[in-house]
Amino acid sequence: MGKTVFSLSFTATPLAVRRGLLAFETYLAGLPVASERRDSICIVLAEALNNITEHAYPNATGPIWLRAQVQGHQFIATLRDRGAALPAGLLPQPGPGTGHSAPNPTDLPEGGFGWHLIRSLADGLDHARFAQWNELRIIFRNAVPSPPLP
Amino acid sequence: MGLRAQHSNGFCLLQVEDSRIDAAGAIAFKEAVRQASEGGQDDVLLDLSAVVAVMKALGPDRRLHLAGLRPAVAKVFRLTRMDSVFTIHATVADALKDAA
Repeated sequence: MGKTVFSLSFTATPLAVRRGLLAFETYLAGLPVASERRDSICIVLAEALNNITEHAYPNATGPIWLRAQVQGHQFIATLRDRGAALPAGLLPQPGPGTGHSAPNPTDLPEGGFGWHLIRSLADGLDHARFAQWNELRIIFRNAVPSPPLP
Repeated sequence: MGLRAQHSNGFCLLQVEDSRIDAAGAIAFKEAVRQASEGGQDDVLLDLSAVVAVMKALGPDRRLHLAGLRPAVAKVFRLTRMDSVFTIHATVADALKDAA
């Protein structure tokens, strides 16, 4: 049984994000989470981390702090960055009809799907700005049917 | 970006040899696909069976066929409705059989 808490800091570059995701996937593989759900969690984290490198740090880079943990049956990931504040109203809540809609795929868009994927696959999103930090909390309900002992 | 090209049953078959097509590799991937498919007339069949994470595509008069989508990749295509844009085959063998 794997550890219940994961914590990692890295720089907001595409390659560091890739390495961070690989480490996260290894951690997640040690938890009793169904593989279908694991895929969803990894897709959401990949989109959220790429959003940070692209939009929070558009002209520079900076730190990303990723923490994830099992809490009862929930799986919770928290991302922090010191980049630009997420514009008010940008954070869509999970569920249909909120926030950005997905681009039309027949236009062969090259992006703009990130929040749509996050909203479709996460069960709860919570954003806060503390001092110079963005904090995004992503909740996956009932991801851990039989939680490991802490 | 590892991409192997060959011609088979009227397809330009492109086999992706990396396990991830992500933000860090997207531009190299796009360039590799462009180069590998340049100057041909055949439809392009992209074998994604080695790919475990995300991807993106190409253009005009030729169709892009995809094969070998792992579950996480298939999920992204479904949620973005990209599965309505491309012709998706379970495996390369299936795609070639359908074309024969």
